[in-house]
Amino acid sequence: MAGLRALGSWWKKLPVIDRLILTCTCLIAFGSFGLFVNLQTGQRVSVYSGSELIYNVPLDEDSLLEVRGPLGVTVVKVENHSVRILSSPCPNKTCVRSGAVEHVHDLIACLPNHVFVKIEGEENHERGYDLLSR
Amino acid sequence: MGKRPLLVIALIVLILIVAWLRHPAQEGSVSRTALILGTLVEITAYGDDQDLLDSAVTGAFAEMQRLEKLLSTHLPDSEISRLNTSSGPLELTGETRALISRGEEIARLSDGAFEMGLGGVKALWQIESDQPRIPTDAELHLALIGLGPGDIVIQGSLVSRRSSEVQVDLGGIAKGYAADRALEVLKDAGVASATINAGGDIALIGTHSGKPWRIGIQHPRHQDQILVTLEVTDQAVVTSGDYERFFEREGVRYHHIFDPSTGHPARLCQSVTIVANDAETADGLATATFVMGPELGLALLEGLPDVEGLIVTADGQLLKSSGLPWRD
Repeated sequence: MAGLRALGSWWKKLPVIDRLILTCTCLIAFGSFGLFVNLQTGQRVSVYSGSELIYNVPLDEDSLLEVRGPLGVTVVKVENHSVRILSSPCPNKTCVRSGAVEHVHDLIACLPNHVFVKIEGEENHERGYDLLSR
Repeated sequence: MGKRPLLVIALIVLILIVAWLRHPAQEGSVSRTALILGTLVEITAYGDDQDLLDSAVTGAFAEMQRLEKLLSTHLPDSEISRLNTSSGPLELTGETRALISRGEEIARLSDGAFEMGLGGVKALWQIESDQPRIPTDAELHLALIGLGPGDIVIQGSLVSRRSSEVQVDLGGIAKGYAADRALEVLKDAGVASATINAGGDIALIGTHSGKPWRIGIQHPRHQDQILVTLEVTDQAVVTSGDYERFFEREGVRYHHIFDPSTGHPARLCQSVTIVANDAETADGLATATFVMGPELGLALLEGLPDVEGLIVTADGQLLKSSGLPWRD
């Protein structure tokens, strides 16, 4: 508390121009954090059939996407800032069991139906790892 | 400015430094994905010259596609497919022969736990098809005839199989080798920071913005969880697990990593992660260690230079080699 009081007293003694400069510096610095967070939400979902890009949609807008592969139609759902394969004609349904992904560079693949789903955009450094080995 | 108190200037500088440090360095990158060797391959190269990165990544994929044409068992004209249908010695490229030789070396190191002739056994189980099945003991016995270190014979430029039952499948080493070759293409093009992720086989160049790459290792029983994170620079990380390709019958999981001594899925581990200087070695050793099991596998890893490993045993215990780059 004593520290805060000293800080307040020091702040009052500062010329107005210095207070203005410090306030602006703080606003710019913290504002840039906000800008960075906004960049993160620019992530997009790319859905490929083989090497052909079929869809490229925003991750933050819900959508239901159908993509045709050699075995039939795979259905991809974008919802709540994440994406998953809802249904697939493949035998083992490993892709459906993979569940939802939400981070940049996350992938879901249906190898039998040659469909894969990838999140692209600015990297999210908060997830704790750069790549997943599995 | 000359009259401005030093403390105010210091505060401004401090705030700007904190803001700068909080923001991760945003360097340019090129990232592309393709289906190669039956798996999803993602190559990402980092740097400032977008044209250079783009051209390097294109070259890296071209190299992997070239190797797919040599090594895939799914392409009828590949060297490996032709070897499997050949009744006698077949002339193969030096590159394929060298890869087979290195596979044989891992087979010997692991007392046969790593085996490149299991194509016939894999075909019996049909794990990747829509109708996987459990083969009979008689079928497996027949498919295992002639298998073991030395079952692929190299004499000069000619390669042959010890018996017709030896069906060569380089799935345990080819992905890693292809990733290593692609990495060389990137390096030759001048890329100083890059990752190749070939279905979980990870090969790395340099660092990520000056820091080690953080490699999350998939938990073998909880798909949405990370087991541990490893910090790695300029190395390869490969994981083999019983959870990637499998089917279940009456509560039993039948997966795609087979024990060459029985023809059945190996049962002693849930997953094995290897860190090595190249992905080819890591790939082969991950399979070998998985089959050998925790005790023998860890002993093998501890005896090899520049190789570290992480083993999740069949009952879920976590074992690691002494020099694993663990990040708490």
